[in-house]
Amino acid sequence: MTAGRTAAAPFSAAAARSPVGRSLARIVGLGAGMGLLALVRAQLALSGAVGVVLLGLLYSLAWLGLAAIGGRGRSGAGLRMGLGAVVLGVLGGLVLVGVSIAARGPAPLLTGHAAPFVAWASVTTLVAVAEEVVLRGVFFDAARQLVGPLGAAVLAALAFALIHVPLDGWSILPLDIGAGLWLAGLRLASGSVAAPAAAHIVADLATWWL
Amino acid sequence: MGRWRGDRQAALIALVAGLAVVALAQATAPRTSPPLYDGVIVQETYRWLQPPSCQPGGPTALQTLQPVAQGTSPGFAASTDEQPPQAQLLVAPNSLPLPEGTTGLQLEVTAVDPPPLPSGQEIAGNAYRISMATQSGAAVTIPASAGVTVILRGPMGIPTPVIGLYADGAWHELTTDPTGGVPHTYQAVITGLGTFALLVPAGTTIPCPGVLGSPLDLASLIRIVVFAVIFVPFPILFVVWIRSRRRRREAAASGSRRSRGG
Repeated sequence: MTAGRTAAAPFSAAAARSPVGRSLARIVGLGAGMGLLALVRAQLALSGAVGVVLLGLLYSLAWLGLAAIGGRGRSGAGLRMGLGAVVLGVLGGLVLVGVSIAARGPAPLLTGHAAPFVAWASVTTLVAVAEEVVLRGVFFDAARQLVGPLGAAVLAALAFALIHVPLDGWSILPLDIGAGLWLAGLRLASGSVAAPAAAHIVADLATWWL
Repeated sequence: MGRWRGDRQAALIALVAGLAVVALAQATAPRTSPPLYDGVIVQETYRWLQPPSCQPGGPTALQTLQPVAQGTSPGFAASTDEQPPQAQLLVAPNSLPLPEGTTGLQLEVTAVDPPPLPSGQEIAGNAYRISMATQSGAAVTIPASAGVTVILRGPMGIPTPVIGLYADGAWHELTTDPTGGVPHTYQAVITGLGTFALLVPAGTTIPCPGVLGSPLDLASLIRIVVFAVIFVPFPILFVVWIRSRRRRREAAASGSRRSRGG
């Protein structure tokens, strides 16, 4: 009994120290963190206990904290900013919104012009950037070590869709998986998280006028 | 070089597949917002026609004439002015059969005194009379295939409701789904108009709006800033404290090793 335990311990320690073990641990940890944050956010949003702007602010800060923890010891190469990536991201966001609108019927108004645009836009931007830094940043990099670029794109898209389920319901899955793949494609095409972040911001902010 | 080529190939596949899935998802199950919208919705407190204590009043109404070109029914979203709207009517383009000579559709969405309540249920929020007629007052029929949708937002904190239609002196419960992305908002596909309301079990208590759930104004902004100033430094200070403790401990351990070795 004791021999079995002592024999297993070095193996586990070695697995945890190996690059694969570290990436796996990072993916699992980030996934659990994202899931927890999504659940807490949905609970607070649906109960109305916290105002949406404050909630968005806290939510994005928590995501950035998750990125800092999950990205410890990484090079952060994917977090580089570049004008080309931002331009590509803006174009990618416009394409995403355009295709979405072209494919659907009329939509109800989600927001009106009476609201303080600056506060809304600031928090919306912060949430989009925070989600991208985690999903198409540290999570994507960790997943890529294990399953390659396309596998990482799929995993990040699945995670992106799942974190929206608590608030938006299961019907959001197909749409957000598609959007997640598109964003991961932008990350791969540009080599930077700036591109999906810019696209995400464009798609979110577009709802003010649509 | 090989990794770069692999990335480009994967990027192309992800972009094409992503766009195709988005288009397919939107075409087959239209959502009420563009993709990625993250639910950061500035949601004002529900306005009641007959406000209970601690609830605001003054719901808005909509009266408009929707132009019709060449006899084809237009696509539109007729909404009240709250944020998000408390009542909406969605009509897809070219979905309604219109009488000949129709040049416009008169639309009305108004909060009205509630009709007699169904037994065992009560109305959460306001009852809304929604009407649609041609410019000359002729009724417009709504086929089931048109997918005309009514969306109602309710007060915060209500249990999951069902949309009821009061027509011909009776309530009819409609198949109701939550509207994704907008909390406390529900939708139902309709084939007739009348008075609509969110129905919940009798005896449901509607909570007062929380201080942080109120619309964003200067006071709310000040609260956010104060909260952030208090909240944000704590986790940072905690991490700094943990790390400095660990460094001190490591330094002490290496110091004692040196002294033993020396």
